[in-house]
Amino acid sequence: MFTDLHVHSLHSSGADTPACLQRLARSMGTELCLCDGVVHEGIASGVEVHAESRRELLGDIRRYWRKFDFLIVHGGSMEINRCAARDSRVDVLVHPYAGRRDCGVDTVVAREAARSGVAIGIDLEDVVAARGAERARLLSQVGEILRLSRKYGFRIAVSTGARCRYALRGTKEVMALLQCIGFTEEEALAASQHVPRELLEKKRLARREVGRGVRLAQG
Amino acid sequence: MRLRAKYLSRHELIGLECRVVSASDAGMVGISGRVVDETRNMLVIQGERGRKMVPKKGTVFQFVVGERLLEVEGESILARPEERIKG
Repeated sequence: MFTDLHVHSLHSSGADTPACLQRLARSMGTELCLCDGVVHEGIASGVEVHAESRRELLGDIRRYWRKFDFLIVHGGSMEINRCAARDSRVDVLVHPYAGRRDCGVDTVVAREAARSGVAIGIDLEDVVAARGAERARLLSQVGEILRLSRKYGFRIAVSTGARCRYALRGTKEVMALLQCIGFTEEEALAASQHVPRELLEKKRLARREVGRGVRLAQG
Repeated sequence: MRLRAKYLSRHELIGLECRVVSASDAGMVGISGRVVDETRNMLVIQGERGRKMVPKKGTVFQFVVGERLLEVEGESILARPEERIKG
């Protein structure tokens, strides 16, 4: 089942209610996670951090990482990309290519992300919504991220980046789209299903942690 | 010395009640009893069916500390006991 980590409801920049998105996602066979910066009952809730500087980013990570089920950092500048890739409290670095001509992942970001377990996020909505030269640029950026992932071993997490119900995608659609972009079947499966689930599970364990390697038992 | 949950992975484990909740060897899951000995790689658990040596690596142990139930990753206690408690 496709696990979509990056969806906004009307609690942040989206247009639909969480209940509406949840209902549609369930009918499509998608596991919905909302990153509104609000804790939703019964839905995995996360936050997307937009920071201008390293200092601001670290402050936001410290403030939010225990509070939510997952933490996403909106990348773009190389300073933010490197800082987020280095910090194991970050789950996904999305849009590392935002506003850039290159893909925003260099060898330093790639090595750090592989070491700290931060996944690099690709939003399908970016690719689907773009047209002409912009889409070509995005596809080449995604291709470059994929190449670096194969070389350095960092994980890729694919999400829709949906802001309304029409941008939600089903499991088969996502798999097909990823294979069109250049992912192999195993890579597409890992990026859309295994990695997001592992990230949620890792966070679930981390939130119960009371000391080094010690955590509260469930129940 | 009072046992604090935070420092369980650096504390003496012999004498504590313990249960194996997950292990790379499925046959180990469910072993429970009192820890009677410890080596670098193993915990010796005295249960109703005798002593069992359980490898630390790949295993999650559950300990009762006060009123709390705590899980410890075997990798975090993977050291000789005399070295481990030095912290």
